[in-house]
Amino acid sequence: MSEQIDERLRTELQRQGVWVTSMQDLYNWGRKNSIWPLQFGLACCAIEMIATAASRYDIARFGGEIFRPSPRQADLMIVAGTVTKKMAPQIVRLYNQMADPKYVIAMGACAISGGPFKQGYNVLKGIDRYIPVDVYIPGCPPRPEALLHAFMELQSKIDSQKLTGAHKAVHLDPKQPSEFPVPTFGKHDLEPPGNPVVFQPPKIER
Amino acid sequence: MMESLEEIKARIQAAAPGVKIDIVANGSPSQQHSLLIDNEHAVGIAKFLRVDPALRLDFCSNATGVDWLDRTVKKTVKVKKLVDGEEKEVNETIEGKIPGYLEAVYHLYSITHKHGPVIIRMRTADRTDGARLPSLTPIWRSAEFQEREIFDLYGVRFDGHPDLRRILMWDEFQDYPMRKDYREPDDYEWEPTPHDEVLEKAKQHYPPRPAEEELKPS
Amino acid sequence: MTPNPYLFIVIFVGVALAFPLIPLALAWIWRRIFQPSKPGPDKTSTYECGVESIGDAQIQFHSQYYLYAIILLLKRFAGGLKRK
Ligand code: SF4
Repeated sequence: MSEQIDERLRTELQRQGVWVTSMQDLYNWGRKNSIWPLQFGLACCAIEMIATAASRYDIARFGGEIFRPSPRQADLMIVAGTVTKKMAPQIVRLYNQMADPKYVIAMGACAISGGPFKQGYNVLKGIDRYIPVDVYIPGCPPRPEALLHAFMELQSKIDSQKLTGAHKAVHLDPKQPSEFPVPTFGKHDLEPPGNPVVFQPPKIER
Repeated sequence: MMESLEEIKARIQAAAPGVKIDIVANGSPSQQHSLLIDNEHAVGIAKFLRVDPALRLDFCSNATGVDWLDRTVKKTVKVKKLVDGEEKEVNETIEGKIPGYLEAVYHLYSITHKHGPVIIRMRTADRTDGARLPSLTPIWRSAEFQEREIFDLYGVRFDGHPDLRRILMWDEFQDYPMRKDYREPDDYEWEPTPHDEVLEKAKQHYPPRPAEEELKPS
Repeated sequence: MTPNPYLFIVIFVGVALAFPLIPLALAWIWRRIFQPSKPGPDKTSTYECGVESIGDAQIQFHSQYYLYAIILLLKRFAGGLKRK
């Protein structure tokens, strides 16, 4: 049903005025052009996100202008800004409450790794310690164009997701988790400091 | 023009005899000297500063903490000593230990007279159990959150504060992160270009180098 | 033969039912075939602000609260009338 159509056949048919598609293409086409982000900003990067949503950069051109105030209606979480350790459990909980399929963009140095505040006592060293991130945008802050680029990257990622088979999309696989453990406030740090299921920092080889 | 700190000190001591006030000089270009007031009479002194018609320091713009670790100070003193049966003056260095303490510093302004700042500071007895100070929130309401912040980050307990809880960190947190001897939990992760403190931390996580023989080409 | 004038309404009701039901049915079929449902304690929780809710949702308001509300309503209503 979702077998890929032969590209040559498809173009040939299109030339004759017949438009064919597969279920998978139709499904992904619909999803990638209506990504609704969750409306929240954490620090200075959020200003750039707001600029991206406003008329000058206009994320509406890509179908992402509907910022939802509720996680139940959102597909995309743009982690725009510094995640403090006090905020991290709330972010993870919001991610858990989003309906599948859901995607995460880590925007800016802070969301990726803690950025300029990495050595701070209350700064989480990257949101990818607790939730899986799909697109990382470097920069401090990234320009709105960079966010748009990340958005397009995400669209092409969605476009390439499979509907069936062994490599089907994560949200279609009943074995893949949709919720991730929420860290708790410990005596000296968040507990646990990272989720090993999603976060494996590179090891040093000598 | 506002009175000098010496005049303020003299007037406070005239109004309330027995109050201990020191002037802490600031050698930096800002020349912002401060009054070190004693904890017992702090609330009374604060009230005086606020209601005194000439001063009327009705606005506490900033309250902050300072951490002073235990210090050893070297002093050279001239001591008379018997050297070879003769009495001579000899320079000798003695090491003095100053036990650590915490400070709370308040910057006061007057909206009425448009002058300021007058800086007052209070010192705790030590950095552990004796880290207590009287709260000045009853005098300046704006100190409430800032005293909570000092409590949160330095661990100074303010007696008489209406609502002393942590304000930035979570309630379960037990350390005081702005103290100079605070060590953050070691959550080092691999970095391509570690430097300074991060390099020090990174070195502890590097696997041991393989022995020299193994590296030699055979 | 003129059609029954009420036939229109029947068609209208039919279309009105089909419009919401067809997408719902499609979604239901889609879920059965492709999308496994993955409920969880966070996902199905009542509130969605990210902070865990404290205490019971079914708390009792003091009866004075309603009295205040009524008095406020009366005052506003009366004030509006007076201005007219
Ligand atoms: S990456 Fe830079 S601009 Fe973005 S939140 Fe961090 S400090 Fe602010």
